[in-house]
Amino acid sequence: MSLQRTDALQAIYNAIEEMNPQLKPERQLQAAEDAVIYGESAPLDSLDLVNLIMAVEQHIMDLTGDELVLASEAAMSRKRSPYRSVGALADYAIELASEPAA
Amino acid sequence: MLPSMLDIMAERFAHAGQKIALATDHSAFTYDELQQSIQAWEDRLASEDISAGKVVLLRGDFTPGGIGALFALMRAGAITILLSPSSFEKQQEFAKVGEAQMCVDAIDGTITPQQYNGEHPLYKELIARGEPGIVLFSSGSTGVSKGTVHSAAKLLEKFRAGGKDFRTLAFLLFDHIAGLDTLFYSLANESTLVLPKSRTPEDVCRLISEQRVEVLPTSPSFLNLLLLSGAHKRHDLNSLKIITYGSEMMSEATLERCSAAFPDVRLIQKYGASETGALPTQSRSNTSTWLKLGGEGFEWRVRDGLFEIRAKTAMLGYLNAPSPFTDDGFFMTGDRVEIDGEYVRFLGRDCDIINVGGQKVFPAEVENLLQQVPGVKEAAVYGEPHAILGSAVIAKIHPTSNEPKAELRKRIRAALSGKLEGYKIPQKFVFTEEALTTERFKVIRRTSS
Repeated sequence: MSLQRTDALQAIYNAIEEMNPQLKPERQLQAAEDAVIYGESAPLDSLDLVNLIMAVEQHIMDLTGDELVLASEAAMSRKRSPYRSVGALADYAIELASEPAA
Repeated sequence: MLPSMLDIMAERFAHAGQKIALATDHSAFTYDELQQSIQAWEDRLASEDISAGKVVLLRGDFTPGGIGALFALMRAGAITILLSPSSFEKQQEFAKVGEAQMCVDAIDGTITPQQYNGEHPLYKELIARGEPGIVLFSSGSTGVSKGTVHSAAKLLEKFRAGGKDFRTLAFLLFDHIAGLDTLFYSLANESTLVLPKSRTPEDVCRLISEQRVEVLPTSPSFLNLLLLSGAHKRHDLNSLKIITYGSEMMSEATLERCSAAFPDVRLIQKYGASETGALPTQSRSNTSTWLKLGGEGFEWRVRDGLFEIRAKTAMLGYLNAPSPFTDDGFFMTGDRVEIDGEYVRFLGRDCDIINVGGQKVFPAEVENLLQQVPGVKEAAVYGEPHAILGSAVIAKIHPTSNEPKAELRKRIRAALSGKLEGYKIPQKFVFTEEALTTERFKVIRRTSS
């Protein structure tokens, strides 16, 4: 499958919009490429993080009809976490989408 | 007769005197101050007529006040139902199932009468034995939490012999068996227990660094998150000697990453259940999920591939469920295991329970609430492996209309929040037009999507 960067970002923004209402005001995320998702001074807790990642997966599915798994051992063992920012997560999604299906 | 462990601990507290018992990021309480806090709570309990056999719901946390109140209640001989902030949603249910007569709120300092009369047969058994009680709740399959009734005397007994003096972080929860184990071990050995205000990787690492914590008892999920956040690289964690993990499956990959990130730290797997207490364990190596289990007061066996434990620290029974013990007193854990000589390895649960970061989720409880949400015709809940939390909760929904999926997901999440603890709210929704019940009205949970 191929995934355009604009679609990847749109999916993440949609997921943020979907998740924000259930987050406390101080934990809400900005729909912006440089917004920190998980890392130093990140607002999310562990469940929020997992919820957000899975919501992004679902929005990618809604937009493209394809299933991507954004949380995996491969993602976790990267030197730089793909969850550090919105932009990094979009890049990671595009990279995964461009890999040939196993 | 041997002196009770509560008496012995009081002597140990007096002996420790000016040593720090409890430390937070900004304050420290000596053992003398802890004694005074317990004494002050004992006086208040006495003035409210809380004495031996009274059933008391304790709203509290790992704070000097919460710990003081717990020890005062045990010394008074009360039966204490523990409730920590992550379960505050369940207060009414716990009070009812636990038949609470009083509520002691260690957070705002109030003591209020409750409407129940505390006459459960298991409580009568404790009273007849003259032992204080502790009630811990765990999730139940029907959506009603199960109350496990313990003798506080038995839970404390294993600390009589004394252990090692470590500065330990009270990371696990105040109303979980493993959290209590941390508390009792630390105080029984006149050690310093460090109390976290928050459990984010950043705050935990900062506290470990500032308070020179030596032991971090935690869960595989938290270790995953810690490594993801990179917080361990931003703080000096060289005081850390031991990390213990338990309550859910540890993947070998996480364990290896952990071992690489903390080369000088011993990684030890723990095993226990609310029903039995925590077992002594020994990991084969830092990167092995094989472990040796047991010790004085604990026996185990495997029947049909399932793990069973007989423990002196086992609960008396459930308040509201049939006994899970075999006739010869073994607790049927439902955990599937492999055996290699004297080593055991846990493979997972043999039932529908979903383990989300160490917290149990029963599909039926979530399904029941999902079915009450307008727009949901049928719902089936199941677990799927997840790299961060071990498992994720997936809800398969058969909707009544073609409402946009994102809208329906949002409405469902809003409808469940406040009714379910956060970890029970499905992380992912799968929509289907197919029926989700069989002809015999059994929910089809494990259909491939």
